[in-house]
Amino acid sequence: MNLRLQAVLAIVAFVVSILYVLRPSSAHLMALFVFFAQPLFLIVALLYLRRGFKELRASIVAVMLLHRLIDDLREREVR
Amino acid sequence: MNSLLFAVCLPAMSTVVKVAGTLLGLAGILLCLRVLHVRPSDLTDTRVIKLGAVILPAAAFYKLLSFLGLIVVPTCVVGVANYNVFERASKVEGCASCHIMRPFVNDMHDAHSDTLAARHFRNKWIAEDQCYHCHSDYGLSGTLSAKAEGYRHLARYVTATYHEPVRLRGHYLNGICLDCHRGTAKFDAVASHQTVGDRLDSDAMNCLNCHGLVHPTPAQRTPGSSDYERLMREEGK
Repeated sequence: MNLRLQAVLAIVAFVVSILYVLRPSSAHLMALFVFFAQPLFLIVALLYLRRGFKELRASIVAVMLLHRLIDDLREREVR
Repeated sequence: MNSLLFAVCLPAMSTVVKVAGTLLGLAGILLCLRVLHVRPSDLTDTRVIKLGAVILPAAAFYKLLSFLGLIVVPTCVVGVANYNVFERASKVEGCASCHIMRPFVNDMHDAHSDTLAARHFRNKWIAEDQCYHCHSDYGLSGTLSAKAEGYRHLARYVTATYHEPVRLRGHYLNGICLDCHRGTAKFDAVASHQTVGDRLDSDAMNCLNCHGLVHPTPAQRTPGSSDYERLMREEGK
């Protein structure tokens, strides 16, 4: 599973979050966390879930194709 | 005695949040760096990874790692950092961290000011979180709308899309005053409170119509006015 983009985005969001946690009195860091880092985490989560569902669907399709192949082979044997 | 011991031994919540937030953030960065450096050869079915007594196929291990680094740890970090957002929002220092709020906070702390905010502060009628106490409506929806309003203030402040003097948006609800004052002997002793009771309840009339200035006037808070420098000074200077 290639999750490079998600990991890079998450690292950026983590860095902003750490800076805000260490210096909560800064209104600009608070804004960066609220309006940038939080939505970035959400985007990362959505991209991750999308990737996961894609893989899951691909594996389900692969299993279905395998079942069909086995059924075809059985039919040929019967004939 | 026990409570005193706890008070001495337990660090302040802000310290706990700082340490926990930093450690979680660093853990998240390390996990993401590991996810970043996964190669296709690491994910072969034949490779296994031993975690103590547990043996996992490499592919399953890295999926677990990415789930931790991209979902679980970020959720924890957002939770911890939001403690700061919501906790600071209710503190006077949180409001004062934006310089346009200084006139309100300086005036409230001014021992010679006669505004309602200063009198409430001076007489300790509101013990703590004075700004939040009067500027967040009671009840769940009220508090949520106060938070949403706080986000709007933050956005306007950091993008410098505000104009001085700042003004209250919307209408100040009498219910916030009445929540503390109604039913007190002092409140009931005033005859006019009984005659205008219905109008106060329906917000057809405002408490401030009779009870004067709550904060410095917009004219005093306008840049260039004679009071502006005094109201804008940093506390302790």
